[in-house]
Amino acid sequence: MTAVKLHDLGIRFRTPHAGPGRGIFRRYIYKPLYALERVNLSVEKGEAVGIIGENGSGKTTLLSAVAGILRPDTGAIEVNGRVSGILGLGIGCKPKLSARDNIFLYASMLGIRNRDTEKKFDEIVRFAGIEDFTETKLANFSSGMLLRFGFSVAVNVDPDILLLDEVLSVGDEAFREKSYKKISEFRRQGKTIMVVSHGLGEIASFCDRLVLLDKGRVRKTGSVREVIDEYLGMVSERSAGEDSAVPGKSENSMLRWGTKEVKIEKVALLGAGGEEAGVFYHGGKMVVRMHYNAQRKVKAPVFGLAVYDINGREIDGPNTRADGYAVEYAEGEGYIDYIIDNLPLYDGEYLLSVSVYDHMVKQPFDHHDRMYKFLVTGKKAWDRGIVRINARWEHKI
Amino acid sequence: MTQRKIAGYTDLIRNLIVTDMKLMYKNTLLGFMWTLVYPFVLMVVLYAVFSRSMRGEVDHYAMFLLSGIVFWGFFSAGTTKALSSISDNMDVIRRINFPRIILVISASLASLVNCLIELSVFMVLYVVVFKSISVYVLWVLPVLILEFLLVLGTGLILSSVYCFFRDLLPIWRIALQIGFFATPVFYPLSRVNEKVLGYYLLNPVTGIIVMARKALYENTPPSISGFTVTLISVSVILAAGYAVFRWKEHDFPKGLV
Repeated sequence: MTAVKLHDLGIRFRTPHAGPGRGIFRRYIYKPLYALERVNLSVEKGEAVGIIGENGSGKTTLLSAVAGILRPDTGAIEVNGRVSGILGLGIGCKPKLSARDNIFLYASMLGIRNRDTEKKFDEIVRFAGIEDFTETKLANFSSGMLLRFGFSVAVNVDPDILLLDEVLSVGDEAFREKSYKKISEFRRQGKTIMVVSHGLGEIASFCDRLVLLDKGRVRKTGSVREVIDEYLGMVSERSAGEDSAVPGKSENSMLRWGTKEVKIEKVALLGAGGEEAGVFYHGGKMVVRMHYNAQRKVKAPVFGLAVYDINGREIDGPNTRADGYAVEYAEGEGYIDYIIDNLPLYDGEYLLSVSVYDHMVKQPFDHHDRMYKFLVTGKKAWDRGIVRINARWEHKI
Repeated sequence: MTQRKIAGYTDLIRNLIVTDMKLMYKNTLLGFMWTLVYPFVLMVVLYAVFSRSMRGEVDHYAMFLLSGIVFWGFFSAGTTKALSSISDNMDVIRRINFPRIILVISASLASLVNCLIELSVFMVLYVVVFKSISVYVLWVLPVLILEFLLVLGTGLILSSVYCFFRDLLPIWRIALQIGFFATPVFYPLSRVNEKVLGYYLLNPVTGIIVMARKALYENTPPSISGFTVTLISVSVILAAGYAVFRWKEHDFPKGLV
């Protein structure tokens, strides 16, 4: 059975542009902007569909349309079942009133009777972890508490279709764990989930299918791997385009610096079969290939790279010199591989820096700071943390 | 989209009214008593200014004033509250789908509750002053219902327009200020110049105040023609309000913030 069906959906906004006049006399000219255009999508009951795309690609608009908040300007939407969800952070009903009042108000907006909310009240409060704060004004809640509060009400009203907009990437580890459990519970019960997130790692871990939106249109629909590869390809293509679009600036920017005596022209991430990829398996093979071009013969250049988690913590930062691997010289074009046979990282999104320095590792020739992104998947249920430490057990009696 | 009935949202209406009351006088010393202070202060001021000129024409001018103030106050406060009821809740409108009309209904009902509280105090005073009460007082109930529907209908128009036209709030404030003088709140209908009486009676609040005064103050039922005219004008405003609201409600999330 189809839970949500979008047929040629188009949603239009009017955006103001500066017109004649100055200061408070300024008049605006309104131009139509298609936030969504000719979107066709069908979500089956019990499916978990992730929606990804750059900022402003129409992800939240799509969820708002499914929630019935925005009416289609063209096309049609068909929704079967009760929809609940969190669109945007912090529901901010009445910040001056207590959490208790807000729970009842929020639930009744979702169509829940007060007596039913009464029954679920303790569960909502417990799930949100705000047992001691039910009489506290919402205005005095921390942003984490607000988030947990909103999520807790939305999932505890027993929806058939759950919409989640960028909620999982916030909140602490413990709450994230709890939310995932709740989401798996939903999935077992055969409920439909539509989730928007920039956290590709988490979206990959529980979605059956992804949709990539690009400027209000569906660019690709398909399996998690296919769509994420397409997305990462699109992102790196765009950032490369941006670099060359502004001559002069491209050579030195916030993300890239160095004398360019040796230039890193392309970085390719290769999977087990040598194909370029964006998603890698835990325990599998991954190769970082840096294509360089040296204007003159440079003796003993030092190549390096660094891997960061999504919060910007550096996980590892090896270079050829520290690893005792001597690169005799670089001249003209060539490439160097960093080969990981057994990828120790667990599921998530990672950022990658690459660089080439002089023999003293003092003078940067070319440094790309966290310009590349990749994803790891394949974590087992019992795996914890972000990295598998290469070690073994020994038991002595 | 499945169109859920407003009836399923009675708890939402109740919660909205209760939260509205809680918010209005939260952290104030007198709390809810403030609801009563305003009409009485206004009554005292108007009494001080006009009682001399009304002598001989109106008996118990204080009670005459109070009945006018209470019913004018319902219209004025109710429409002002309803006007901003949509834009004040834009945050939730952009996040949760529920029938938007509930926000306007709740705002109007909250003002009705306020009016009922004022009215009950007024009734106590009434009995104290006149030492009797007539059965015609019951006419106040249909008049209140009519006024509620008038507030709701006007509120539906105002709230829809206000989402896209922010000048409406100051305009409406001025209109209410003029309305206060163009409605028989502190003077009897007999004071109105006969040449303009026809236009004057177009104001549906006039009909409501006249009928309310008859029930509360003069102990007579409303005239059939007066009641019918008010009923028709209220129905027209309500129907127009509903139509405008249904026409515009889907554009609220895209409106001004």
